[in-house]
Amino acid sequence: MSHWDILELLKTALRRQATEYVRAEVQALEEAFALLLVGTFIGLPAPTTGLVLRLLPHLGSELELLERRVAESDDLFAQVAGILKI
Amino acid sequence: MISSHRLPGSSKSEGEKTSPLPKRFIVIGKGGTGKTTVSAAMARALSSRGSRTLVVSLDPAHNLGDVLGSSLAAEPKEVKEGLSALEVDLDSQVQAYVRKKLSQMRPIYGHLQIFNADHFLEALEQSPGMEEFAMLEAVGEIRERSLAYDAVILDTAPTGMTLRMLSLPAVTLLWIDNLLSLRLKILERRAYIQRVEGSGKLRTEDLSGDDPVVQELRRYRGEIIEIQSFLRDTDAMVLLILQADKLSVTEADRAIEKLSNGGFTVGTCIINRTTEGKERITRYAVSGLDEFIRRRGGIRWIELPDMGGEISTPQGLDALGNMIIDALSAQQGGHR
Repeated sequence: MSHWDILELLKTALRRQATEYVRAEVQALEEAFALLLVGTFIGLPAPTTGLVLRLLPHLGSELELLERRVAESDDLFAQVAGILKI
Repeated sequence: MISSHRLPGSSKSEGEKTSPLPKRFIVIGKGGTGKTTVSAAMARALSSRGSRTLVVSLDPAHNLGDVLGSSLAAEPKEVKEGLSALEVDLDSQVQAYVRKKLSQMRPIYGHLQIFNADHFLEALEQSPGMEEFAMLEAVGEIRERSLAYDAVILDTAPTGMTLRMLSLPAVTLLWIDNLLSLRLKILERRAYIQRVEGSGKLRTEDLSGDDPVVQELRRYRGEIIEIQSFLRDTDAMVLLILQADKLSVTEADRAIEKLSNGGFTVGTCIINRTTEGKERITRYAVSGLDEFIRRRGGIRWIELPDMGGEISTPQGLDALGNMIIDALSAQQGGHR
């Protein structure tokens, strides 16, 4: 294996690691965004009604994500532990 | 005679280039102080002086039509030459809006179990804040209609509801700005992932400026700013109506406070149904109006007499309207 190959391998590994954290961050931000809009269900302060109504038609994927997270919440700790490599 | 009485900015040739919006009067006050009568009277007087005028009732319990002697609907109706009037139907406004959104959402959320769109939106029709929101949407529509007029008078709902409606734009803008920054953060990170991994998995709109959520937020932001400036900027005037009784004075005081927190300035208060002589002195003292006037030094005052039964006639309304418009013109003249 040449030096170049090793370097490429290292790059790929680093890239995967780098995006792994960002992916987790994106997911958390997306959840926060969706939760802010439907948070009245769990008592969070709600944006004005008009704003929620305007945005809901565009947030199909965000709410699906929320639903998935609720379904997977059994395994929430495992997921966090996975991300943090504990 | 006619043109000399026109309010500044109400003449079309003057106002057209610099401000396409007409002069706006937002009439606020406690229930029963005479908002509708004052609005109708001003509207009649302004239209008689040659301003094309639109008077709008935003009160869910309408009686503008009763005062003007003409049955009104949600579309403007010409009640006399140069004067159109309409009564906003908040219930059907809410219903129409919610139905429209429901039809947009069904295809997206139909399969979700956690989120029953039908029930959610049916509940929304009855949910708190909905009426104020519908009222704000109605103001947005009036803004668009208003371009065809020289003057628009908004006869508002009782104080509490109107104050909540007037505070909506500022609160909504705060939410929009925060949601927008959160959304942009998400997009930025999605773009980062795609750049690093070079994967084609992400939707292309996530990476450019045409994310539908960002677009909707920016669009709504623009609309809210337009409504806000319609209600607040140059040529918009909040007229607070009160009477020489304690409750009305206390409520007016609170309203001024809340309005100024929301960036609205009450320049002129109208004291309705004032009496003469000793009775006036007693009532002004007992109701706290004297003290109120002293404390609110920056506000200009217009006192209107108690017109009794005469107010129910068109002539009575015209007389009252002329008093108000003359007083306003004099104040503005003196102010400039």
